[in-house]
Parts: sequence; structure tokens; C-alpha cells
Amino acid sequence: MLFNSIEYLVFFPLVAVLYFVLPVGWRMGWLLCASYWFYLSWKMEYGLLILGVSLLNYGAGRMLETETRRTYRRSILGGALLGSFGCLLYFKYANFLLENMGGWVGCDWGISVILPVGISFFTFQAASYTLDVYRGELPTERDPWRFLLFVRFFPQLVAGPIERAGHLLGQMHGRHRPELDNLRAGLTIILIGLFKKMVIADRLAVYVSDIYGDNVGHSGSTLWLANYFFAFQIYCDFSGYSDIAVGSARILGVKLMENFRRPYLAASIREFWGRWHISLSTWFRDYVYLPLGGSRVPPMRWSANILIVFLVSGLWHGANWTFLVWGGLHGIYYLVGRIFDPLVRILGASWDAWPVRALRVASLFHLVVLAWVYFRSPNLAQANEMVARMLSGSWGRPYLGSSSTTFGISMCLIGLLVAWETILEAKPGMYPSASATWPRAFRWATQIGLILLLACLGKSSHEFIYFQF
Amino acid sequence: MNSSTSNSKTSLRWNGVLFRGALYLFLLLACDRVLASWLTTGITRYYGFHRNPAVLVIGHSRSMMGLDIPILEQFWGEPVAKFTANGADTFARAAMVRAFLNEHPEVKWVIYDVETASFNSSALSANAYRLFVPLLKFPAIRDYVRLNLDSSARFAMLHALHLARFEELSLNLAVRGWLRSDANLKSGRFDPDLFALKAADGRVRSSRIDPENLRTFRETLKFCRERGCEVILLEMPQVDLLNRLYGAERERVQLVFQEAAREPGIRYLDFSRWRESDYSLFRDDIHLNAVGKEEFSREVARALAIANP
Repeated sequence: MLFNSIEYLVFFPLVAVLYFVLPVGWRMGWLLCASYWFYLSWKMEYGLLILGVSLLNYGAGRMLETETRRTYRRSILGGALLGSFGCLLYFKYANFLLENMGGWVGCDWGISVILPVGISFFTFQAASYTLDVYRGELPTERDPWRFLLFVRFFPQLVAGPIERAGHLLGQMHGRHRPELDNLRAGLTIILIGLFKKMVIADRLAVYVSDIYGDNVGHSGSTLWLANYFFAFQIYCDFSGYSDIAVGSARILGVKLMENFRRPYLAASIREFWGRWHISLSTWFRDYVYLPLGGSRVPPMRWSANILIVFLVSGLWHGANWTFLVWGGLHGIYYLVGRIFDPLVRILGASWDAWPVRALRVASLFHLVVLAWVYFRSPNLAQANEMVARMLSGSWGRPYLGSSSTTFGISMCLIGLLVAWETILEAKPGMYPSASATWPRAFRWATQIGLILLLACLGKSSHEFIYFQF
Repeated sequence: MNSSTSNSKTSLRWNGVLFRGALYLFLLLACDRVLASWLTTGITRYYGFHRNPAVLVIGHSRSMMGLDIPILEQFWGEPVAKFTANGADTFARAAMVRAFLNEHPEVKWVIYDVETASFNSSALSANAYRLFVPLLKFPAIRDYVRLNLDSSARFAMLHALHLARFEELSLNLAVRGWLRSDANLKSGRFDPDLFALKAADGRVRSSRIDPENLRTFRETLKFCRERGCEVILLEMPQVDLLNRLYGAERERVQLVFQEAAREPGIRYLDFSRWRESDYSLFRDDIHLNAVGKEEFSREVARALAIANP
């Protein structure tokens, strides 16, 4: 079931109304049933997988609660992580590994495995709980139903945000009251998410797919245009999904973490990763980067740590060399960015003066766009060829797509998005946290405007990009 | 006493919420209906529903880009309506003709564009019906759209929110309708190399004659005649490379048009080879550009004058 489907339009209000109508003791069970229904609407067999991963980590947590011997505790943690990540490895990477290994020895070892929806998200979420319990940062959850709901809470089940047990488990108590403020804020956030997804992302996708589907003979300017569009497409697609997840949970009284904070207004790659897919980047920070030693190691080791984190992050997105290169590029950007540190110290406050910052934002955006080429391309050969042509300086008149109206609307929408995000950058408290307190006339005008634009310009795509991860 | 006061306050608060909810819904629907009505009027103006035309042009993008209303009106001396939509196959045209003639029984001539691939819907956009969604108020169009929609929930949504009936192409037509603009803005020129790629990829529409398409075509002609209209089957120009590619198949399809033209009140004008080698008039293998549109419209007007002095 997709967030942008009529089914969800019926499903969610029904779940929300019944959640508040039912006695408190029944609410968790109801949410769990609804979450199962939501997830199983993709494929029944996936239900067993998510149940297995949940029970494995729940069991590990319970065992860690009573076990004090260090070796045993490590074995329990190892077993839970092996089981969780083993599933991920099999479903997501087995074919890639076997295909490549087979290729090296001249055999075809490829196997056909269907990737369960959201596997990278729920395995990371479940594993983070066990890691936190092992580290003693979190008490063990004894209620299995609450734990199951934590792993499969439907708004964030298939594409995040990847929540931490410390933040979400405590909210799974079923004692929420229906609050108008939550309804107001949640509705606004959902509408903005749907607008990003259905009006912007899915519209840009048409042009991007057109160019990527047949990139032979296009000029460098056309390829730049396609990749600018892809940058906004993937942002609106993924952040739109996150918005709908956050808004839906908010209506139920649950506050999910912020997953995107205007990433294309970042002026350094470090800042970018503090704004893009925040739940994943903080996961890698806490469970990969810091255990590797973080920044408290010699410079060479630190550089290696940074590269490892970005390469793993690239691989998390998919089993393809293109994702590895994408992650590696971001790692290199990060390391190269450190070269400017002495310059930053010399320039002081003028480094953040708005003309310099605008230049830095624009430069970083272009670097990020170049990296997106590897993310979007089906293979390295196509990505390399595209990057070569983008950098070759072939500046013919860009191809604007089959419809000049669609192109014009797309440009207007990108302009609108950039303007909205620039306003939010200046007034960060305005959205989403304070959206419930907007003046009524403004809130109604925004919501009604969004509903009408969605009705008129919304496209009904059948997938979200991040579902494949 | 306390409990009663509390209940009364709660009731008042819920009354307020319900009142605001109703007001919200009213404002939403009012904005939706006003905007949708303005856009629908624009589209019907673009298609010529607001006039009392003597001539109706029915077709898809080829006649949309290839026939100029002012030039045809100059020839006829009477208003001409052009109800043409991208990808409109014989089924869509059946609905279009019925919708228009039911609204305007005064129409005397129907120009119906035809081509070698007229009886094959497969390579046309499967979403062509969406262009007609804004015209749901016409029963013939409503039936056609309902048949093509993938779900009844979507059909219900189109009735709940009228703006959901529009998309960028129909918005463009609505704006053009209000601006009274029928201009062909395509200035490009046919590129033989691109056509060679298209042909090699098998992207040229097949000339296959689908029996259901043929039956619908004949029924539409019959309907026009029953309404007292004279039908002109106008075979649109296409480049020589495409004509050669079709070869004998083109003549096989033309036999269908010739056979139809044996009926009283139906004429067939073959322009498929009209200036087929002059690529400066074509935007691609089947569509005329702005220059081609003007010259072709004059040629059609001349041919009609000779045929009907």
C-alpha cells in the first residue's frame, strides 16, 4: 500500500479513528494489526521475515538483560547482528556478490532473489535496539507486543526514518489523546509530503527517465539539466515520503525524528550529511564511525574511517558498483573539504558571509549532482560516459522534453521549492514543529491550495525510489 | 453540576470543531468548483463548443497541428470547430463526435482525419482518455472515460474534486481556449536520421486493421450521416520515408477509406503524399510544423472548393 494511493486515503483515517476510539489496552494491538496489514499488502511472505528479525532482536535483548558474562553477551550480540544482517546480506547482496565472484572465475553464479520492501530500514532499526541494550544505553523492552510495534510501526516501516528505540519505544504506549494540534500539524506535513512526491518528484521523473533511458546523443547541457532534475526528484521523493510518515505518526500522537533539513542549502559536505537522510547518517555515525574510533585517531586512520563509513553507506543503498562509487565520491568530498579548514580559520566570520555562503552552496550542489549520476545510472559505464559528456563542455541548446508546458511547470515547481526552503532556512522554527500554530487563515489557505494543486497536478506513480533500498 | 458544566463545554468545543470542519470543506469545494468551472469553460472554448459551427474537425494531433481554423473558416464562410486531441483513436472519436453533435445538431460537415495507422490503437497513448476527463459533463464522454478508467474509486474522486479532472496538457488547452489561440508553435523540421532510428526501433505505428476499431469507425460514420452531416475523410500528409515504409499496406488501408466513400454523404481526400519530400513543412514524420499547417490548410480549402464548387 502506497502513501499516495486511494487505499491509504481510506486506510489511514480508519486506523486513526479506531485507534482513538478503542480502549487504551487495545490500541497497541490495533496498531500492530494495522501495521501488519500495511506491510503484508506487498507480499505475505515478507511478514515472516520481519517477524523473524523482530523476534531475534527481542530475544537478544531479553537475554542481554540477564547475562552479565562479557563473552556470552558478545555472542548474543553477534548472533543477533549476524541473523539480522545475514538476512539483509542474503536478500540484498547475495546476487551481487555471487555474480561478481562468478564473473571473476568466468561462471554465471547469479541467483534470483526478490528484495523484501524496506528490509534495510527495519533490520537497521531492530539491530540498533540490540546494540543499544548491549552498550547499556537502553533498558531491555520486556513487552513483546510493544517491541514488535516498534519494529513495524507502519508510517516508517518501509522507508524510514530509521528510528532509535530510545526515541520511539517510549511512545508506543497507546495512551495518546486525539489532539487538534497534532491533527493540524500532521495534516499540513502530510499534504506537503504528498505535494513533494506527487507534484514535483513524479513530474521531474518523466524527464529524468526520458534522458536516462536514451542518453545517447544528448548535449552536456541536457545531461546537466536531467541531473539537476534528478537531484530535486530524489529529494522530493524521499523527503516527501518521510513527511507523510512523520505527519501520519503525528496524527496518532507519535513524534518521529526529522529526516531531512533542507539539504541543498548546505554549504559543506559535512553539513549536507547533517541534513540529508539524518536518521541513516546518525545511525552510521553511532554504530560504525564512532566504534571505528571516530575523530580520536591519527589523521590517516580517520581518513580511512570516513571512507569506510561512506562506502558502507553507498552499499546500504544497493548492491551495485554505482552506489559504491557514489558513497566513495561523498567520502572524497568530505576529506577534500577538510583541506579548506585552515582557510576557514583565516577567513573567520567572512567565510559565512552570504555571498561566500551562496557560492559554497552552489558549488556543493554541483558536486552532489555529479555524484547523483552514479546513484541514478544502471551501471558504471553509462555513469562514466554521462559524467564525461557533462564535463566536456558540449553546450548545445538543451532538450526540454516532449512538452514545453510540463517543462515550464517543472521549473516553476523547483523555483517554488527553493523559495520555500530558503524561507524556512531563515525561519527554521516555522515548519514542521510550529505548523500547528500557524494563523488559521494561512494554514487553511496552504492546505486548501495544496489539496487543489495535488488534485490538478498530482501524478500517480506506483513507487517511491527508496522502496528499493 | 460540575459534570454537567464540563459536558456542556466539551459539547461546545466539538460544535466549534464541527462548524470549522464544515466551513473548511465548503471553502475547499467552492474553490475547487470555481476553478474547475473556469478551466472547463476554457477547454470547451478551445474545442469550439461555445460556437455554432457548421463544420466540425475530428481527429488527433495530426489535424490539431495541421489544420488552421481561420483559413478553413475563410473558405467556408462559417464557423469551424476543431475537436482534436492527442492520441484520440476511433473509440475516442466515436465519443467526441457524439458529444459534439448532441450539443450542436446544426453541424453540416464533419472532417475526420485518417491515416494508414487509423485502425490500430496500440501505439497511441493508453492515457489519451485523460484529456477528455474535463469534459465529463457530456454523457458520451462520461461513458467513454468510465470504460477507460482503471478504478471506480478514481471515477468517484473525479466527481468529488473537479480539479482532479485536469493535468498539464488539459490546463494548457484551457488557457489556450481563453486566449483563443489555435497556433501551432512547433517550428522544428523533420530529421531523417531520427526517423531511421525510430523505424529501426520498431516505433512506427503498425498499419494493422483491428476489427473493433474498424467497426467503431463505420458506426461513427453512420452516426454522422444519420445526423444529416456530410463526412470528409481527410488523409493527412506524411513524409515520403514513412509512405515508402508502409508500402502496399498503405494502399490496403486506403481501400477501406475508398469503400467508405462509396456511401452517399462521405468523401475521401487523400493527402498522404502531399509534398511528402518537402521536409521543411514537417516537424516529424507525421506532424506538420507551423509553416506546413498554413500551407496544408490552404491546400485543403482549395481541394474542397474544387470538389464542392
